[in-house]
Amino acid sequence: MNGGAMFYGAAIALIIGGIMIAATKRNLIKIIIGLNIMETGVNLLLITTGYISGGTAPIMNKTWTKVVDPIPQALVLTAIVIGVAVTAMALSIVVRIYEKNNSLDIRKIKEMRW
Amino acid sequence: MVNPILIIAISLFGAFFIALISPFVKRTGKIIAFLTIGFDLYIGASLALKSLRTPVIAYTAGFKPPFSINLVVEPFSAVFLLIVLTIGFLISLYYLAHPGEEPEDKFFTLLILNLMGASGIIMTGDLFNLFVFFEITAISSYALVSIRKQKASLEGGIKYLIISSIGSSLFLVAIALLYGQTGTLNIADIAAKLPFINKSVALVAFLLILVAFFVESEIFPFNGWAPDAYQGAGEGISALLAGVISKAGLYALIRLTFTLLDLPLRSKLLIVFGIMTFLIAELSALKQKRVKRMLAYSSIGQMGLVVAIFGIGTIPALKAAIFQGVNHAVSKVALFLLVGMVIKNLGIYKLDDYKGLGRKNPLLGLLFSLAILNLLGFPLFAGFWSKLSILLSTGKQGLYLLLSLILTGAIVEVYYYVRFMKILYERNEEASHLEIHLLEAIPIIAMAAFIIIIGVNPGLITPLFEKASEAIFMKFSYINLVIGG
Repeated sequence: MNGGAMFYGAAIALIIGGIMIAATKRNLIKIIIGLNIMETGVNLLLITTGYISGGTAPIMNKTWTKVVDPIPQALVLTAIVIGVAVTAMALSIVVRIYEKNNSLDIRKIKEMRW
Repeated sequence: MVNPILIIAISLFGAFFIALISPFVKRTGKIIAFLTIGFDLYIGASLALKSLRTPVIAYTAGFKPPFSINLVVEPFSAVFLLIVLTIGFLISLYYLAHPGEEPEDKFFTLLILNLMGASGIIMTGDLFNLFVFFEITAISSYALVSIRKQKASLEGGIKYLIISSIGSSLFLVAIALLYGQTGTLNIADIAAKLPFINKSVALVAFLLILVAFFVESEIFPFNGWAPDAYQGAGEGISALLAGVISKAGLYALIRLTFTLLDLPLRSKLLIVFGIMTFLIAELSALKQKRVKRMLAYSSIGQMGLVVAIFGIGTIPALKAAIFQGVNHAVSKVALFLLVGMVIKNLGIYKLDDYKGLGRKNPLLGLLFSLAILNLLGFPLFAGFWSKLSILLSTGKQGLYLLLSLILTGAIVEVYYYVRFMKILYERNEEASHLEIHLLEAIPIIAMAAFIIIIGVNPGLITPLFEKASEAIFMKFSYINLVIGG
């Protein structure tokens, strides 16, 4: 089984699934969950670009032979932090929307016209 | 030596200094914001001046590019840096006399961070760093848009957040693809290695980048968030969206597409999507009843026009596009700030409520008319020269269909703006008198002065645009500049 192709496939499936959820669901919380699924997919894709099957962590010692690329991991760490910030921001806006409208359904929020 | 990193460092310091002292000393946010952004502008302006002779590159971590994150200020980014910081400075000046949104200290922290992110987008030479600054700008603008906690602002904020975070995730996918192919994150280095990578992967990456920055620069069909965000946000923030956030998105769009994308495809995509945005937005502006929403659609339309002209890609066209971008930023920011003054005094939102306001308040009417006439390209204003050069550069390339579409859109634009001016100057005994605070009016008067001075003598500023368009046109000089030296 080719590990690389599997990881790419899973990442792309997560990204597309996340976007589909964000685009089709009517509940704001579900939309945000969709965004999070998409972010997970993107992070997996980033990690996969630097992954070598059987590679170890890039820490310098005598025994290492095959190491994975450390840069995507650093990028993903940053991306995770940003993702958490966006989610927190989104949820805090959603709390306010719920206070105003008593509903999380985007159809019920009258001024929501795309 | 002036170091571009200073802009980021000072902004971060200023932003968190407000948060630090706000529990002890109330209401200092606007002053600290003004000083911080003023200092940023000083650094930015001296960098821009310097970059016209020799471009400035700053490395971090002691390695030369492509092995470290670098900040590049060359003429093209210098022009955008100047636009963003000047507009930001004028907005902070406006807020000295205008009440900020509550909670005020947090509002000004966010304002500084937003400008920091926008200048970072413009200066950085690293793709992932661009993503980080992009997110800083985006997250702070979601908060700035929805800070009013009214229905409309919350709605604008959440829409902006959903669409923009999908866009930025797609940008991250593009980064992953490009990094996987080239093994580098430096924009110039990627551009240099581009001819040797898998063509279809590169194409997918470009399309994703295009979508991501179309969202931020308000290009159809990715601009569903924009009218609501403009309408819901405070007036100063609408001005920020028009003059800073969308301009930073535009810079990133042009920088990445011009450095990374092949010419024929790029032109087609930018022209088609740009002109579509222009026409649709102008037609939507026509039927708006609320002033801010009308201005929002006009803003979207102008961004579309600028992107379409950038798409033509010849040096005169690039020059025209930059000039039009500057004019749009100046006019639209002035208009939003004026609307903010009206709303603060009278609390009116509808177009019809403006009846007779200009006749009763001569200064207000004059400033409104100047900004509008500049946007329409009335002769002897700065906007005339940019509209003229747009028409000339389009005609020169033989793009007559594009030319006629631009003219159609422009006529629609003239129609609804002239209607607005007519309402302003209609006879109405009941029109109220406005208390105009001088400090509030200074930034708008400064912009009006700019419009007139450039209108009389465009030669004062066109050499700058000339250099900028040459800098973006020659992509190899950018590559050489960053990784060759």
